[in-house]
Amino acid sequence: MSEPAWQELDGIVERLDREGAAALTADELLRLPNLYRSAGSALAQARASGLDPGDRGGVDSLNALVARSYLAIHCSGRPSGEALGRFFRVRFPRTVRRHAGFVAAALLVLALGILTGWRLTLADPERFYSFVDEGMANGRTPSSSTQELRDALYTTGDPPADPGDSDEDAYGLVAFASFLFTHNAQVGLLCFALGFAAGVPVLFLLFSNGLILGAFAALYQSRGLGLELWAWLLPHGVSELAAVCLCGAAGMVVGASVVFPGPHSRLQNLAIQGRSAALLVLGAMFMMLLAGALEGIFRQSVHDPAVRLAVAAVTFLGWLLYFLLAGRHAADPRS
Amino acid sequence: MQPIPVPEPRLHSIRTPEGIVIDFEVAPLGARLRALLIDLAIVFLATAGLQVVATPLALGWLGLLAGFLLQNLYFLYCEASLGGRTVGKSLARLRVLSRNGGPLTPDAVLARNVTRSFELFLPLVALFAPQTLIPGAPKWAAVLAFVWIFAFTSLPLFNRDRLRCGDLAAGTLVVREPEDRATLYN
Repeated sequence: MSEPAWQELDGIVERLDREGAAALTADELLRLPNLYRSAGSALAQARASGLDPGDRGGVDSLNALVARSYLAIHCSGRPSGEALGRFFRVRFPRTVRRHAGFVAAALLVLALGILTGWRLTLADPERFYSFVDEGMANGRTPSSSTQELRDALYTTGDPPADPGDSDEDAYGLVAFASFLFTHNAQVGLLCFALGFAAGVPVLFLLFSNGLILGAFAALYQSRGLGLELWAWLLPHGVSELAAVCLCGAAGMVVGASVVFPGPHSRLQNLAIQGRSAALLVLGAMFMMLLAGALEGIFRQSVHDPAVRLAVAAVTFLGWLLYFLLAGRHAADPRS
Repeated sequence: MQPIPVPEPRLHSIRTPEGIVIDFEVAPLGARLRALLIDLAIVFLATAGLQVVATPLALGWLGLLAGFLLQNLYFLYCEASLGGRTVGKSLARLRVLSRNGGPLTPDAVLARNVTRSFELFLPLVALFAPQTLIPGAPKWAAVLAFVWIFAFTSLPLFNRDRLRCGDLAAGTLVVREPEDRATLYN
């Protein structure tokens, strides 16, 4: 073994790992790939030559050196801000288009849930309680007066009067918005993870969230507040529901990758599709943040249903155009 | 006296883009747990600290939001910018690798961490506050759900490479940081 070379490689790798590529001289950067490759072939040779048991330690050491070089060279990249920009300009909309079928399926299931909850609750208001639990209802139930229901649509989100008191009624709408964001984001993350059970629970989750929404719609409609509820809901709801559907689609992608592995092994295919589906989840998280901001800031300052509905329409068109068109002509066809 | 047998380390071979085959030692569960506990302690202390600051300012919601972001972004940020390591993993001398031998991409880091709330935080909630998870569910359904959740959480116990759900979805593997420098030069 040519020891000085290994020692040099060891030194370079050590500093590369600790201080990054900037700490190396130009000469060292040039020599690194060659040293790495020759160490790699020395390792392969040592393994192939049916080494005697006494030299086992030497092979292990060489293996460790090559392993450290590999990690320092290949696995120490830091994602740049540019990568994040590219994610929004190209990769996110592209990934959504790639999984368009699953996204459509998720939308369909959610829509079915809304429709079911709406019809059933319209027919019998008591059913509201089987779709919506108390924390979610936040005091808006069939037993509330119409005025109370209306107030819930137009209250401004003042911070709680007594900071020590974090009761539900002391929460302002900002607090409610961040509660909703975390709730929805959790649901989104859960959707992705539930993909491991072949995607079936994802469909259930989407459907049951649709039921809640439908039940609210029916409750408000029965008091003649239907349009105002949608005006309250949709400005942020468009982004939020789209995000939930993307997460649902991500879960289905994961599920389908295991059930229908195609030309790869199940494990390989899961790894490929899982990475792709995770991009959907990341994008959806940003959509939910946006939805939270719309909910927390915009909805408190604007109370006119017409303006609210207009904003909803704008976000809807915006997302539609974004997902259909963004990144279509970007250079790199991969990703 | 019979010497206590030292268990053979589990090895996993990776073929690098240059075609070199390298053996890595699969991270033992004990070390993974140690790393996780350190990381959880950091996340917990940071969240608690934020709450302490946010609550008197009547910004409880900020604490809630920041807590959520911390829980989810801490692992993501660390693994993406420290080459597959978190603070806990560094201390336990562990590292995340891509099983296909390629670089550890941000996509893979993302995929292995978006399952975390499901694999880790959800079971913790299930353990300590089951009533919040499935309010009003019949007992048998709750039991079934918990068994199901814990089956996913305990996945690393049942495969050779100690992969958890996130590792499966991301095509990653946690290994011991290779370090053996003494024997090479003397």
